[in-house]
Amino acid sequence: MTDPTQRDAFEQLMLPHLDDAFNLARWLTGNRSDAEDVVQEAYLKALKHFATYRGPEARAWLLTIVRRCCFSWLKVNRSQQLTFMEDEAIAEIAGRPTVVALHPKAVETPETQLNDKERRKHLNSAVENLPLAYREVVVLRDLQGLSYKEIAEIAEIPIGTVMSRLARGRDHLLKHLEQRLGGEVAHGL
Amino acid sequence: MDCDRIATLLNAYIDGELDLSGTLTLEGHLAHCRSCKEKHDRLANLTADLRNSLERYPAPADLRERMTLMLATRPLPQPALPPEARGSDLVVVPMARQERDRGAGSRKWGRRQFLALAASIAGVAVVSGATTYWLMPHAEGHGMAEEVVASHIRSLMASHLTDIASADQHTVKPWFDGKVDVAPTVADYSTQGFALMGGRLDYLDRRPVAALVYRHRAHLINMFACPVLAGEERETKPEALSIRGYNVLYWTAGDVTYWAVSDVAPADLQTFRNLVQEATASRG
Repeated sequence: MTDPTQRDAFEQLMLPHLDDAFNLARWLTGNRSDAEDVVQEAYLKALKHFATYRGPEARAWLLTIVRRCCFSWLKVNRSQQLTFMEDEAIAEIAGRPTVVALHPKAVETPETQLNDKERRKHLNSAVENLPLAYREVVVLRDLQGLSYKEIAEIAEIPIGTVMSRLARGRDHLLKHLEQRLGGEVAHGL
Repeated sequence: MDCDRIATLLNAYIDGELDLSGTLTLEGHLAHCRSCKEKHDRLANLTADLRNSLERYPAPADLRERMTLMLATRPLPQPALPPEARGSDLVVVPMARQERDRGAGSRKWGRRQFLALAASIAGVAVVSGATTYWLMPHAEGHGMAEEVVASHIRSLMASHLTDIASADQHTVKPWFDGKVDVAPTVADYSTQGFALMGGRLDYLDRRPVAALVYRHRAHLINMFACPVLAGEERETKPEALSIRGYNVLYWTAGDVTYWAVSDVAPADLQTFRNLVQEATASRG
């Protein structure tokens, strides 16, 4: 892609979504510096394959690439999470309930009187500890506000799966948070 | 419908993704099933909490700088470096974009270009930096502005930026005659940094409108001229919005509402609007 017009088009279509790209990578990799590397790699890939971009949803197209790069990174650096994701998917197909073990560091003593800052902290930590398959749909939907159709495109899964993963992910969050913070959790954040 | 099936549909309902018949079925069920109604309320609270409380991580400024540098350098064939630049830290520095756009013959790399580039990068970081982006008023539900942004993006994608490519206002303005209801103010502001590139016929708000294309440094600005219909409220106070990373500014002059959209900084867009307003005023 050496044509300056193409390059300008890429810049104007893709750079405005840098915050969204970074946010997704940050939530999937779990830390800032890896997210930066992944996003940079994703933009390079996007630039290389810009000729295949048919629009009009630049954000979904870019985020699909960002997500793929995240998963390549996870495969090398966090393979346990991916194995777990496959288990989740199998359980989902079989219609079995899955047991979710949240990360031990998230388990603290229950408190009912928490200030807003602490509640936010618990909510964020609960999402951070969600299995990857649920975490990504929750972040894409509840934080980035994408439609089911866009999420299906980005995560490369059917819309029905988007719906069921969101349902399960949110169920996990409800159970976890209500157990941790008492029945009032979801009503005061 | 049994409660198990309802549980899955509840999420789609809360997310506004359920179709009409599903919505009706679900609402019928919620009206008489206490436990599903309670589940609905818990889920609705949770999604609201997630939306409000989950951390948004904006792209760090240094990442943005690296991306901008990468875009400026990467796709270009490697220029032969002058000997004095070899081995110095200036090797990695690309030419300032303006130089390239002019097709400058001299490809000398020096401190001046470096400073020019550094300045343009700083500009970008401030312009579309995370803070600006998140602090801008949300434009959800602003149908017209969404349309304007969509048109802007479409114009960048296809090879259909201009129907009439000319920097001459006397060529561009008559081209619109008979094609649109209201004629825009056409002027070239290249001495002020906004060069007229041409015009295009576009379709906004269910009618054909004139679109003018300007270039500000490496950025394109689309300006649409939409007629203010009889009985429509005339809003003369300019409004600025940010939609999906693009800045939109609109204002009304006489019978025309102008919409300017671009990824330039909001301040640059305002400068542009001032120029158009002055030109409009001077022509009565």
